Amino acid sequence: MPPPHFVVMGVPRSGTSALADALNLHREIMCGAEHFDGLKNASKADLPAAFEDPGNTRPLGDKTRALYLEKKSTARLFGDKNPWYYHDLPDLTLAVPACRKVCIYRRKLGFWRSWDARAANKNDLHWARGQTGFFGLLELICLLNRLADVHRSGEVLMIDYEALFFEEPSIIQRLYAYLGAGPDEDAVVAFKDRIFSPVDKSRDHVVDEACAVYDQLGLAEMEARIFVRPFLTNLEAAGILRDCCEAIRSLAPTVIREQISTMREAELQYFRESRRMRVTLRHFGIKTGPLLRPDNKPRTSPQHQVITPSGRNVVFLTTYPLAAPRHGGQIRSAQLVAALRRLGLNVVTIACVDPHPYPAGEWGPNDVAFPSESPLRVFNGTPIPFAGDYMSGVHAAKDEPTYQRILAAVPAQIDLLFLEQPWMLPVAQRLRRDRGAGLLVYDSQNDESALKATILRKFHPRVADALLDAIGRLERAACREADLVFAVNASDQAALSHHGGVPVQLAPNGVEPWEAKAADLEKWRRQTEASAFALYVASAHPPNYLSFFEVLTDSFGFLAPGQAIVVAGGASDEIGRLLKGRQHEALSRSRLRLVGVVDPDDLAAMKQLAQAFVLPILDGSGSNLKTAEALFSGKWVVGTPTAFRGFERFTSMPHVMVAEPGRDFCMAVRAAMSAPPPGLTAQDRQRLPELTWQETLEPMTAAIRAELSNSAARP
Amino acid sequence: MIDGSLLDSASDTASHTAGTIWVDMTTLLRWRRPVVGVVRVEQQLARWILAHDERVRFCRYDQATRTVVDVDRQQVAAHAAFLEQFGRTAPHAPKVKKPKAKKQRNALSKILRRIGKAAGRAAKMLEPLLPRDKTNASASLRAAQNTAPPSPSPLRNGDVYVSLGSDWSDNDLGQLYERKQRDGFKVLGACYDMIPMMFPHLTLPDTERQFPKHVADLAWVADHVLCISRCSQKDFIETTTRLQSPTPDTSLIRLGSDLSQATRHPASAAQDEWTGGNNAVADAAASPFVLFVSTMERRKNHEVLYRAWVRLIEAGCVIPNLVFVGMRGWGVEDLLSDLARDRRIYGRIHVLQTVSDAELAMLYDRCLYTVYPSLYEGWGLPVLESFEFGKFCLCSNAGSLPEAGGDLAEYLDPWDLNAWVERIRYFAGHPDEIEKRNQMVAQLFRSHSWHDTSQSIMLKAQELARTDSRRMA
Repeated sequence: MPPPHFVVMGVPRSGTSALADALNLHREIMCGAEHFDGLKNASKADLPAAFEDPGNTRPLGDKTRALYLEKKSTARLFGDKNPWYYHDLPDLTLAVPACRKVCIYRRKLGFWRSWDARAANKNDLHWARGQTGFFGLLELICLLNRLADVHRSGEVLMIDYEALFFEEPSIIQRLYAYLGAGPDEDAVVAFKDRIFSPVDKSRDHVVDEACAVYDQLGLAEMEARIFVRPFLTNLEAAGILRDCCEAIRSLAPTVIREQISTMREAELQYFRESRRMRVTLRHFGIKTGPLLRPDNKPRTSPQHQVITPSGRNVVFLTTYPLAAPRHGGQIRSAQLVAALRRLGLNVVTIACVDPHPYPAGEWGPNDVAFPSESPLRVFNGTPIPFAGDYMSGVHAAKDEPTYQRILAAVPAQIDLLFLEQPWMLPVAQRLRRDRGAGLLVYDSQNDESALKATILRKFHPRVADALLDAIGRLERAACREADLVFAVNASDQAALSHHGGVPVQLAPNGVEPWEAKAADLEKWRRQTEASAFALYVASAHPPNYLSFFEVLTDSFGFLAPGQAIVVAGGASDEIGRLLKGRQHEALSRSRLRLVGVVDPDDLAAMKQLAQAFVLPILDGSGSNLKTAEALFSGKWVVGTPTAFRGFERFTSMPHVMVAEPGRDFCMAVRAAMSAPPPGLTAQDRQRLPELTWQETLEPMTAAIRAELSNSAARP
Repeated sequence: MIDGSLLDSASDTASHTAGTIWVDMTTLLRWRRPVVGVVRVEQQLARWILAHDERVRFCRYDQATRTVVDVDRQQVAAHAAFLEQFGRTAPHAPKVKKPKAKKQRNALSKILRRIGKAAGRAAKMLEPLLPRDKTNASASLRAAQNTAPPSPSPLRNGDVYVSLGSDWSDNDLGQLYERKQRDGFKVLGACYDMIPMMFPHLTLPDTERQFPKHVADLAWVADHVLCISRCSQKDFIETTTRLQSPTPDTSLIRLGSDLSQATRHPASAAQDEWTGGNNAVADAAASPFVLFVSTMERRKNHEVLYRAWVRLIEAGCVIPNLVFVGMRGWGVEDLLSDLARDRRIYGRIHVLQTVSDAELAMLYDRCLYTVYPSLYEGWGLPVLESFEFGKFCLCSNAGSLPEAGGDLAEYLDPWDLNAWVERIRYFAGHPDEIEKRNQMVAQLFRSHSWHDTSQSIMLKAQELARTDSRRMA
């Protein structure tokens, strides 16, 4: 795959999107819109094919995919814009030295007002409420530090926002040329017509509060010195940038503390909690953090000191395909694969797949089948449908043709075997023998022994004990043999810790922020045929549906006429089957909408339209993606205590109702369906991003990066 | 006359103002058989309104447009009169479903509509006179119900909508609820019994299926629910609690039990005419007998009487005959077969399914006493009807029956065959005791008039119109 040819960056709200739009006017240039979580994902192996990959489910992923399909025949220069790419400049310079880097710079802290506006917009779920313009200033300080560090950051083209969009339209031609594109008069004309504006409406967007800080930190002088030309590199401005950063270092502790002392409570809360936020710990903290500490001692942050060498090979083992993730296990796996790829690792995914629930179109190129006629489907003479995952691992390792197919698909050198759930451990063990694979990572998802016990004792009591013994042995072996072990919640962590091996770390489930399209919203407004509905999104995993009526009862009179519970996902069909012949079936049917498996766009629309989310779960292990999604939605969430496993710290939030199964639960749903939207405070909303995959998987990726680094250092 | 101070004078019946009381007549207008139960309540209320208050408006639920539509008073009057012609137990209904006539009606209405507003009014006046079929919704109507958007309804903020009909089959309370949320009118509903939910095996499968949704929808839509007994009130509250829906305010109404003079003393009631008019009735009344007037269906528990009579006959006891009067319902095929073929009861148990008012009045007059062994009831009109004729009732103690019969009936467990055998044997040997009890009934029973029932319903509707707030979801 060709390397990413360029990246566009800048302080958020500084015109990175407008610049990307301007680049995309050129027929040879294709610029994604925040298509990747971090810079590393935009690495050699990912572009341009990654633009076509539906597995990349970033909020703007669809936009980028559509654009790519439109331009793929003419484009030859590929890149992506993301304001925060500047945080990873040193890593990028090392990993992809040829990459062109463009930074749009908005003078006079012109972004400040826009940050304030988004922070004040209660409907903007993608923006933390306390994240006002002041935090934009912190980002700017971070950016300046990066630009000043030309040694590690490499060459970055700096473009003056005002000059490009309001003063000199010819700059765009120079930019096209800088990136290596040929002449395109149409693009230049289109830029002048559609984007360039001689009337600068944003120039007056200077906030008084910002002006004071701006002057105090000497930014006015720096900008005046740098932008004598609208178009220059950080190499050219390095001296000025270093001077400025030095001044900021001496002034910032006072200026910033003063600023903090005048902060409103929401901002302050955000600032206090910002360890969990992207802006401080991960990015801002490295450079600006020391400025805020009285002792001025640098804080060590292993996750940022380690740079993972790219080009190392990972084999990711599952029992389900990952090309079109639908259920929780698939979604988590897809997110993990994306996170590993962002670390610069080459990931090969291999699944031993039951063909029945997964159509061929959803399989990856290396996936192998677990045929329905396999003799290895039988355990102690009994076919056991609910243990197909256990059996598939056995089949993949013991059925020689299957294993040989796997062996042929893996790289000659495996640096890391990633075992998602314990089922494919027999395969991992054989691969380690045959290929001398390096590290083994075991990500548990569940305390499988406990989870299977509930199901097997109910449906296969005759062989339950023997099978549970086998599953227990498998889990123990996974824990003991792995170099890193992860659990999704504290109770699983405790359970797995009893098996021995390395300490079990936490890597909770998360969510991918969603955004619904207007057409889908309209469609689901009609199709749900409900004045208001509560949403239950669940796969056909038995714990998701077996307790549905136990929790919600057969008395759906708690919902008013016109109100409904919408069930989306594989659980829908199973619940439909359970509904037949139940007491008060017609009443229940009048209040249920079983919509089945729907695509992500439809689901996004339903999530946006829902009045509430319900989590009627009694059994199971692990933590539920649906719980994370429900919590992240900011809508009313009604769940059993079990449903909040792994998310206990969120149960005190004002939109959460924890209710016991039965009448208690139904009354909570009744209250939620009639209530106005929950009043989440700014502090509450600031907590929601903790639920995103980006945050929840960070400890895991940091640990893997460190472990790989250590293993590379070992002789 | 009810207090009309809150109701604007409405001399122009083509328009209405806020605070109008609308009484739904869907069930009545669909009914084309002898008047029973729920239909009688609507019929009596309609008659009272037509006689006493011209400001109350009638309406019905229209399946095609999925909304409540205005109904002309004359149409209600015509239909109520039409139902009067039926005997109370005769099963035959007039065959009015004639496609050709319907076509004519549609064509006529179409032409009249074209003529204009005045002609439209004329068409409305003619409507009841034109044959029509609303008994069964056609498939196309059902399809329309599912797909067509609801039409505007005449109900407005401040109005009160009263429905005492068979809403579980004739109405769409879910749709009404959504309209109410938007338009802000109030709803006065009724609860007769919760039998389809408490004893689903004793009701038709379709009713069993529809009823829980009906109760839940009623509980959400109604601001107030009139219950016909303390028992039904208790059952309603318990059921809504069990369904986890809100429980609206409830109050009691007492249903009328007074019989019309025509029913009590039919003009055609001369004995000769009666005995000569129907041989089966004459045969049944030829010897002393005990009377059971009720639709023949499983819940009414004819079975226990059949068994009791068989046991007493086989034991050689001298007992009166037993006469069943009532239309054939569902679930009694085996029983009817047994009654027809069991030689032990030949000439001792009579089944009369077609009986005129006159014949029924005579049967009440001639019987020794009545029996009513129902497994459950929401009230007990037949017991009171027996009292109207001065006849004591040996009655089931289930549901609301003790509430209806008070101290004037004797109560037995409907499942306790031995108890029924013993008391029937006892009364067979103690005719003086029967006489004593019949006299007590004649002296002490005070009937409740349908006039009072209808008036109390309308007073409750007025009271509701006066309340400012309505219960919200």
